[in-house]
Amino acid sequence: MQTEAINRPSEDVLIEGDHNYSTLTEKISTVVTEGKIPRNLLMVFGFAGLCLTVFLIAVAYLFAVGTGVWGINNPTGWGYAIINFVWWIGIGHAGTLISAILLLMRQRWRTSINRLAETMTLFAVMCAGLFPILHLGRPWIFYWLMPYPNALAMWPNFRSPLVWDVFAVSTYFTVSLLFWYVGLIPDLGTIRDKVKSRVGKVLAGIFALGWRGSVAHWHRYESLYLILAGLSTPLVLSVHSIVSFDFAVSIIPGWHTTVFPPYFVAGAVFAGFAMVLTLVIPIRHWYGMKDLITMDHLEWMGKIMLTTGLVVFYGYLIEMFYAAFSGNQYEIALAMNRLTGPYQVSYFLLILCNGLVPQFMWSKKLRRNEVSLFVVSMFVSVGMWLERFVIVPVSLTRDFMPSSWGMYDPTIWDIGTYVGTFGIFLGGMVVFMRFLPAIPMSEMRHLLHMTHAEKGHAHGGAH
Amino acid sequence: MEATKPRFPSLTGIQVLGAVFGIAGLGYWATTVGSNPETAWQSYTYGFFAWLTLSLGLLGLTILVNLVKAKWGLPFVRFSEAGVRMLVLMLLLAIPLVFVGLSHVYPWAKPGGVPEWGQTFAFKKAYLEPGFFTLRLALYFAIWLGFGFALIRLGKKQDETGDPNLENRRSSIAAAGAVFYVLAVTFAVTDLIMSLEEHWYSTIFGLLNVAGQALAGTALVTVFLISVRNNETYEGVIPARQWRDLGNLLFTLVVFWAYLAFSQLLIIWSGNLPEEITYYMNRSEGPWFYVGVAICFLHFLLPFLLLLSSRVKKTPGMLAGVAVFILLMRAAEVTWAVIPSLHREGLPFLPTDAAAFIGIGGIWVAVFCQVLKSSKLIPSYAPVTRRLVEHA
Repeated sequence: MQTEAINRPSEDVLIEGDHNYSTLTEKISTVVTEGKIPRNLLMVFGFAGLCLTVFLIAVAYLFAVGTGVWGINNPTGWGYAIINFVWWIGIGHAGTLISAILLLMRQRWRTSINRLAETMTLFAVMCAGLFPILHLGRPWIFYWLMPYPNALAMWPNFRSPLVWDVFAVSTYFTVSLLFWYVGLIPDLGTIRDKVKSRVGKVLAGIFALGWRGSVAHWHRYESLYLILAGLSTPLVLSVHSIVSFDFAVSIIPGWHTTVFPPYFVAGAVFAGFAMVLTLVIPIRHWYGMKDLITMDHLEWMGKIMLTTGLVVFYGYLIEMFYAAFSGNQYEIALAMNRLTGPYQVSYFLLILCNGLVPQFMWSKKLRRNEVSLFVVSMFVSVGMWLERFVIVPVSLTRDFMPSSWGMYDPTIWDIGTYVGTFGIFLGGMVVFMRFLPAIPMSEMRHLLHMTHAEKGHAHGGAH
Repeated sequence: MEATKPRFPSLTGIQVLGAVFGIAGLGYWATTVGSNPETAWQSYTYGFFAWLTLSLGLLGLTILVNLVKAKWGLPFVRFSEAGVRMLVLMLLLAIPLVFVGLSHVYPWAKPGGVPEWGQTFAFKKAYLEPGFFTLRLALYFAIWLGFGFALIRLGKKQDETGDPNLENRRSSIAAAGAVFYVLAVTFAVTDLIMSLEEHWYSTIFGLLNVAGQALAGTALVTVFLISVRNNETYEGVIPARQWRDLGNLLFTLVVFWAYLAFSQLLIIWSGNLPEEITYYMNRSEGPWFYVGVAICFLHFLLPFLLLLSSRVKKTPGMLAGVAVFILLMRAAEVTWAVIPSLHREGLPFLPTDAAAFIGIGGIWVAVFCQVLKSSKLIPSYAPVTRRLVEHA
């Protein structure tokens, strides 16, 4: 009994089939070196191009006329732009959690999905970053947000969480980019050696920074990777906490509530895992990578989605309870507004999407079923968007003075800008998958080594 | 199998010491009940809550270890389960508080209630009705004890039958347990502590307490495991990474607690609303200001910096020192969270407060030692090094 317990190998099957180091490398690298793109992915790329066109038109019109083309008004100064900003930046969090926190926690199932998730982070943060800049009204002077010496006596107000956002998001993007790039270096070395085209060889060669896989290289690489993971970990908490401060440090009912920081972070990871699942489930089919992105990977993501979903649901419950408990008439009015006001449908849909549907993930059978995982992840993505909708316009349209109440109706330009960012996101993901290895080859080889070593050990232990 | 039976040194000394302190503390406390019941029961609530959070921290840790099937949890899971059993004692100690002390402690339980609660407080008035309060407290204990003992029972069963599938069963129970544990703790601290204030509320308070409890529980487990590591029972059971894992868990919880506490402060401070900011105003007057500052530096910054160092985490002696220090700071933080909410005139911390804390704590320690003495401290399914297996 006891010897079995010691030697019991990791229960998860993270690499299926009879792979060795060279078949692993071959399988992942040929996607890049041979450059065959599955037809379905080309269709995604076409769709992305369409979205991007919509985006360009919407933004061109916005620049020409101004933010008045959006549905924002008085009292609803924040609309789709802020909702979309928070939604996109939240999605990025899964990448950071998978790559950094799970690495520090020695969770092996991160390998193979980490590169895709990290890339998703980068594009999601880019999409997010666009919205506040577009919302500036005069986006060409966005650099006024930065504290730089100038003759205009311009200086950001450091008490404003919007300024903290500038630092939080730019730090997040920088560290995520570095982490992603450092992780790519050994694989770039492999691509450089395998790719046939001259341009590819030169480019991969430049970015591989002279990688030769020597012991010294690996040693430095491993330390740097660990340091970057350490740096990224607080960012998982800090970025979305600061985003939540945008709301919570005000005194608007529904915004000013202390649970916001952890609740936003959980919501971010929740939305992020939903997006990773949405992307990974079709991709593993189209590229025939089911042996490398296994059911166990998907099940783990389902579990994380359930856990973070429960935290988010806890947040909804707590908000309602303390509104009643506080005895504060404005808090009570807001709670009633969510339940019975003009936007009540969005609140109930939110509870359905984020509160009830993820409960299906308690079932192991449904966690191991691609269809149910995909459907639940879609509900979650919609639900997390609705959550920000419930926070932003529902609180703003009815403030303290009934005489200043209003309604918020998004225009076609709001919707166009939002849909447009999918062009950037999906287009970016397809381009990445074509030109760079979507699954980390060096880490997969290491994982294979570990599993083999364990199996051998278990075998030996039985004697 | 016989070789892994617990051989446990010198718990009797601690147990006797605990009993002596317990009887002395509660004895002194009892002499003050007649003359000043209000203060005495306030002190009792404080002492009760402080030791309740520690027991709940151990329950939380038990749930976590079972949920993630943590190998690093096996050397101490029986110890943290002993903490779950302490909730029975806390349930007994809750009885006098509920049936005698309530109207002396809580403004809403006083005859006439809170006069300035107007129409919008209808829910709060109904919610904080003493009968309903008692019913809820019973429900919280039922949840904690129910899940806690279910895990204990299945662990014991695995000890006897060796059936590895029980590990998965426990993990499933722990998953549901985690949900109900967090909910019950949230509402329990709302009832027991937040309702000491007439107007203050904070939606992060439940999570803040969950984090604080888990930190206290982990620190206690760390201190215990380090102090018995050279004991025969534990030989070959503690993996090489144990101290680093516990150190990292402590580090994470220190940071997580500080993150939640800071979030609450920042949001309330910048909102500056009268019903919320008074919480911090009360805590920035007189000595509480210095306690608050000390908590920032000593509950967060110092353990944070120490636990960053891998040398501290690898050296059992150093790690135990940090864990003891964290336990002291947890006591300080609980004091800082409870006592200023009592809105007392004069001295901020009274002899009865100390007496109740030490008295309840003494009894807690004495009973805890008894539970430990009668438990099998290592699960038979814990991985044991080859040498010991051969030896057995």
